[in-house]
Amino acid sequence: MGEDILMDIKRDYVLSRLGDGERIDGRKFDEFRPIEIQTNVISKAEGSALVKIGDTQVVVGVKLQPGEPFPDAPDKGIIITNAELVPLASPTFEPGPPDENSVELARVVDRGIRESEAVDLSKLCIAEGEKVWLIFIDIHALDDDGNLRDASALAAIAAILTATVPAERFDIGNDFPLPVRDLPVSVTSLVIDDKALIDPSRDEISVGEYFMTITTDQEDNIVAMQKSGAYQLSEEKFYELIDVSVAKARELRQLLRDI
Amino acid sequence: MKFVIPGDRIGLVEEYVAGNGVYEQSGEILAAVAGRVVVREKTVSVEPVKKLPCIERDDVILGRVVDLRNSMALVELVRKKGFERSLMHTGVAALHVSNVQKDYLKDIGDAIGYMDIVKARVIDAKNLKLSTKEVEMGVLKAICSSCRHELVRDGKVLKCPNCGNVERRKISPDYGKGRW
Amino acid sequence: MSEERPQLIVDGKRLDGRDFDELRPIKIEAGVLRRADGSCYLEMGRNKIIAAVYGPREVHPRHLQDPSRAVIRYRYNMAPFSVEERKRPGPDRRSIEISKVSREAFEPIIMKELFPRSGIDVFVEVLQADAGTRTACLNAASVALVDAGVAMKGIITAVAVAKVDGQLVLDPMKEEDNFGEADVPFAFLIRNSRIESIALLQMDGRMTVDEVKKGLQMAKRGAMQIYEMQRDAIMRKYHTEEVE
Repeated sequence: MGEDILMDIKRDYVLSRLGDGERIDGRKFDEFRPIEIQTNVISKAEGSALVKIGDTQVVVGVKLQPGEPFPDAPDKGIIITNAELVPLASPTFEPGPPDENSVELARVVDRGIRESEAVDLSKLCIAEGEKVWLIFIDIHALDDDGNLRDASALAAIAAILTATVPAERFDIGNDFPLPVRDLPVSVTSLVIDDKALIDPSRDEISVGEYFMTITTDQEDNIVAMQKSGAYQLSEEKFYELIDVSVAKARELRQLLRDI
Repeated sequence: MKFVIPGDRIGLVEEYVAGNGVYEQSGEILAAVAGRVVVREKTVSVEPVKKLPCIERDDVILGRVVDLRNSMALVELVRKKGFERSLMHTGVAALHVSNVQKDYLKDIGDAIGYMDIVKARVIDAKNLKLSTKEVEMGVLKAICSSCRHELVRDGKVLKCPNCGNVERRKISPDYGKGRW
Repeated sequence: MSEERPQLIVDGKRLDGRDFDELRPIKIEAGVLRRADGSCYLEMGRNKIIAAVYGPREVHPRHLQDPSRAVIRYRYNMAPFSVEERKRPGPDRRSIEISKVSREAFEPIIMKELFPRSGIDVFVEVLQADAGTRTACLNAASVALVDAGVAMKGIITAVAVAKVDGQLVLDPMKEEDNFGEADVPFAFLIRNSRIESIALLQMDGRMTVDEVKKGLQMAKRGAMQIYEMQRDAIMRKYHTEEVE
């Protein structure tokens, strides 16, 4: 209670500004808030990154340990992605087991990494059929001011980029960098009628959780998509979102290359 | 001005009267919050680094009408103007028919509707009484009583864009603008 | 994993070069989160802690409200990547116990009767752990509560004392915690720059009565140094802003 009434009022504000062709914070429709990427922030993790998009903050830590392979991929490493929307990050997050939003967040980020084959899993076999490297990608939200999804995806790939396989610690040869061969980048938009707002802030989301996420690889192929929210997406809008997402992802990928 | 944190000794009860943000213990006055020490007359207070949204007389509040009787609207409080953080607990305040508008109003239902979001002035903080008499105050958002669609402002009345229903309210100039 | 127990004290110094009564480097920053009502980032040695306070706010569900005072929640949580071996997400017996005793450290100090029917939530996340996380979390939570403007009778400041190689040491780091003979985390209520009482106390290991008493005095001296840093963090956040 209470929060919804406030959202109702904010919604009118966002919509009236949109009616004038403006976003409430003055951004262009295809403009991200300022992005900051810090890597190696957690020395206990094999790879880590803190990403800020505006006031939104996420930490991702990558941990590796030997484990059993899946029977259908006996010579491949395994990616396990998990997200915790801890109550520290938002007045609306409650302590407890992962809810549908944190599961969806983890799975969307996971698909981008998995389907772009960002990590060369075939190089993560220790003993075929017996032992492979398990890669745990843990997403930890710190401050949710909107668009945790792109912040998490960016932090995940940045953490992977800087990760080392801790072979020495487990007496399995020498440490080596986690083999990375692609840089998937997700771009999330908030769809309101005929408009699309890239990187929506918390206040903008007051109009409704109408998201479209498009993740692309470095060849501009689409590797993951997610429409979330009870809204209808037109074909034209969809094509438009693809174009803008591909273009934006290229800009964001440059930030990763500069790490 | 002296800056203190909780527990810092400010003075003795013989020297001062304890105001806000301080407490007394064993004849001493100590800070309960961080901030600057302020002395007015004999009263010592700490001007806090972050104020909590307590409901006080003359505050402007945002709330929703949760019940409507013939002479009274009950308004659930949501926010105090000037504060981003939520209220400590949502109280229910009373808006009496005599405090809705300057002109005489017989039936409160002619100016306030069930589920309306209103902006109002607190005229009695102890008994949580509200007024919307000022020009600025009144309904910010309302839904159609027959089809529940959001009403839009049309001059001095509200109209339903869905069913054409026309309703009367004490309308705030901020109606539908998303600010308050 | 069975590791060889290292010699923890060499030539009168500890493994990281510290004196027996020396704290690890500490960094404290108040007000680091947008959404929380109060927050704090704290480093104590290699510990990295972030604390947020929400409230006083509405309690859900309503039957958990107390009509005469605020209800306090304290949640200590470790990020899965905060430790060497990945930790399974979610609460375990250890974090439930730490949350309980930490909440109880704050309960008598927060002026709960000023906020009837409301809730004050303290959420603390360990992003990187390196021994002494519960004391580091208490120090961060204390600053976050002040940052949130919650009325308190004083400040909670915490530090541990350990016995390693027969020697009492302040603020043990990982190796001392793992291989030492005893570990005693303390939290104190500090009022007007004076330690007034013990707010949290746990112990595991074996010590003589005399060592425990000496340990308490060592912890008190360490806590006073941390307290000054907590004060400084609040001053930096708010006092300088006002001067500008």
